[in-house]
Amino acid sequence: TERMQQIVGRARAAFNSGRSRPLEFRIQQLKALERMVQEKEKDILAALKADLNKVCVVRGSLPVAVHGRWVTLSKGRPRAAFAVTDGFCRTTELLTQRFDHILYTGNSAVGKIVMAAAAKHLTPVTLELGGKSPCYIDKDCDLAVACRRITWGKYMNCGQTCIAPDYILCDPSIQSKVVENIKATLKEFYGEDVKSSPDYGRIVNKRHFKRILGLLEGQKIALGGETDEDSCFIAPTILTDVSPESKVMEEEIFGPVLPIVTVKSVEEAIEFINLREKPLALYVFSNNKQLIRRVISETSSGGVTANDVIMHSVLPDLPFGGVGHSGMGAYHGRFSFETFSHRRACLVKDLKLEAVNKLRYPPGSMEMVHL
Amino acid sequence: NPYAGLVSHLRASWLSGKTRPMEYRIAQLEALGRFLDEKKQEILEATELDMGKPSFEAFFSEILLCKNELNVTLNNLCHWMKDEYVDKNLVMQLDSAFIRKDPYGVVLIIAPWNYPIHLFLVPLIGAIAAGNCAIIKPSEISKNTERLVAETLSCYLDNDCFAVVTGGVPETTRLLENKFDYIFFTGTPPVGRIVMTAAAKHLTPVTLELGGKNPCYVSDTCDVTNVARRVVWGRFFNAGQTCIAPDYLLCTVEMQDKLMPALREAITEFFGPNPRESPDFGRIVSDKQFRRIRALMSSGRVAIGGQTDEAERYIAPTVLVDVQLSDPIMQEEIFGPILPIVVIANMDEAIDFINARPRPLAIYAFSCDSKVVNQVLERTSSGGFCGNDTLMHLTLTSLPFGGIGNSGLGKYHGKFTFDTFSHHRGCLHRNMGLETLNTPRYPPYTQQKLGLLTTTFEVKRRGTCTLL
Repeated sequence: TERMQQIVGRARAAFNSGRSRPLEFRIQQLKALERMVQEKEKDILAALKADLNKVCVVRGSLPVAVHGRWVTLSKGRPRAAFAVTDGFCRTTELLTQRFDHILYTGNSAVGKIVMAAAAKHLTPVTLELGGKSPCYIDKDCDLAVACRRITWGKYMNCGQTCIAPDYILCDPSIQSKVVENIKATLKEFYGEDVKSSPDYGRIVNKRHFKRILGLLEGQKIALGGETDEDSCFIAPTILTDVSPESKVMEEEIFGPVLPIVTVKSVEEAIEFINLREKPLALYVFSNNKQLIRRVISETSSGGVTANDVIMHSVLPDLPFGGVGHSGMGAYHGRFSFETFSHRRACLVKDLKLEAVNKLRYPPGSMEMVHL
Repeated sequence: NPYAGLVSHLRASWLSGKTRPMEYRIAQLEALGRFLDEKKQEILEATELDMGKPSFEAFFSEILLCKNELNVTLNNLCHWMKDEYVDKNLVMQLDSAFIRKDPYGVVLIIAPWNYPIHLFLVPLIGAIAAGNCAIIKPSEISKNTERLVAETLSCYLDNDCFAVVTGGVPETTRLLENKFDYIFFTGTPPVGRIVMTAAAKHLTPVTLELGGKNPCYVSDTCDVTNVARRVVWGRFFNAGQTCIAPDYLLCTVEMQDKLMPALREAITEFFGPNPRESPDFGRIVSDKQFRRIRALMSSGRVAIGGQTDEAERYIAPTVLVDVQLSDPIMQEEIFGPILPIVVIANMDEAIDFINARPRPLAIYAFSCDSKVVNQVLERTSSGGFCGNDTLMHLTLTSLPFGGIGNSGLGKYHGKFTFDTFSHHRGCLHRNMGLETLNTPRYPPYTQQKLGLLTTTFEVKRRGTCTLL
């Protein structure tokens, strides 16, 4: 805790000195961040591959920091204004320190702990949490295209994406077609043997591997289901005729398992979604613009993409954040700047022109009030 | 859980969707306007009974400022509710990208006693405008106003969607056990912590309008008469019971000597030779608060005022000098009609003094030299700031009103209230066609695809930034 206090103290002293305020300093630091991503690209990719068998990183989107690995990339002592700490146990200690804003990305359970800790210091928080992002497929839509986009969003990073389509809602009559289309797309993407594809990821650790495996119990596996504990490999899997009460429909899956729950109408789908916690993302596929508008208007979610998945998160001009259990606050683009700024109302008056002020001074009378 | 029934009733109304159409929201807001018009006399009477609030003040803060917020909202609601369309990248040119303003659901507004109508009504305006249902919890300390609100608001608003809950700490604690979709709290920092901790259990977002000690720096170059008037007005309005009142003065000993007669002059001008007889000076809201504030007067030395009357809960407009930093009056927000003067050597010392303390809700700086005002603004941090006056930044509906650090989080007034009670939902409505444009993002991954993706998604850095 003493070391933690030192680190926070140093950062606070640096802030109080005013160093971080000039535009030039901020641009210099941002450029340094950019240099780090560029110069350390090989190391970052290697770390991500070791952790997640992640392969593709689009330059310009800084990858998620991974505990432990991230620290080895920062050489020498952390600079006074910025510090990187490591280890999970230390996070609870770190949270006892006073910060001026906390941005947390993770799960809802820990989100509550972070907010409660922040409450002690009246620290504002941005919480980017998760949930089960529903994906409604209307009967009236180009199923091949829809399924290709869904396959991409679901199985990228082996399903470990906070805005991955978590489960599908569709009419029972198209369920098997959905399975077929996803199967065909999977072959296109990862070849005949997914396990040997260099483009398919792995589960981050044994704990999560076992957790996801547990979700498959008692389910009808229409596709996939193969696993290999040694490499934390879980094949792209689809479950059909899933019961809303089953375990796989209780928690965010965060893995390459896609349950399909059948519904008879869009009304049923909307009701189903509204009975549950507000998700981080909501997806709807349809050729019918009215239907899409209706789904958006009658539900609530952090964000929405219609006729695709994930993509609302890549536009920097759209605020990215959750609502309800999926989080509070938003960032990306100027929303990040605003999240970390206090908008201070300022009124500067003249010391002269006192006559105007006289209207408000006592002795007051109701006649003056009506002026 | 005594309030579970009420909350679920409101939640059912919310789920029915009835608060969402613009017409509904406008009808409810207009009803609030009628409440202010038809119950004006009752409001003035109730607040007078509660804290001797002069009717001039009550009209200004509880009626006029509220009507302003109502009108700004009614005038602009249509525009505020609209989807905001945003810039798109190359591949999304045929798509629709917009920000949708969604209501949160069922919100809770907890108001304090000092401006008992204003501080629930202005947040409520935004809550209704944004399409929410709301529970209003007025303060039990301003009991006459509490009764008025509990008995009459239901005659104006839709009772399926809006409800008033009365009670004290035990009732509020039970109320907070329920899940709300937003909590708006105005009050003290310790209770703010309790509210935020309760909100954390349900991951409920909050706005906390708290308080602190608002410093008022008076530089050596200034028009003493005008400064004195503006400071006296801001300090003794509502008998000092204002969250953004100038809490203490910072000035040099020379300025203190010049200010003293000017302060005395202003007090006499406003309240006469015996403020106790002036209809324009308020009273302390409760015996508990009266005793607390009276005890603070033992700090330093009384230079002006100092008289009290417990029966009336009257404390005269008072100025204290020779105040020590360790004195009780410098340890807590005064929230009463006492103005201590803390002597400093120069502006730098004043700024250091301010920065050594928790960030306040407001900072005031008086100077004929605009450089001095700008220095104080630039080198300090506070919820809001007013140069050469007090309180007035609150009256502009175009300025966000809120605290920072111990003085609060979040902001409201005008459009900021609407935004506070809305979830800004990023929406992208894509085309089902043009699937070939998506090919670069699909596996099998290749360098060529990565290159293509980069070209279409990249946001390039513009030339050199022109410095402001």
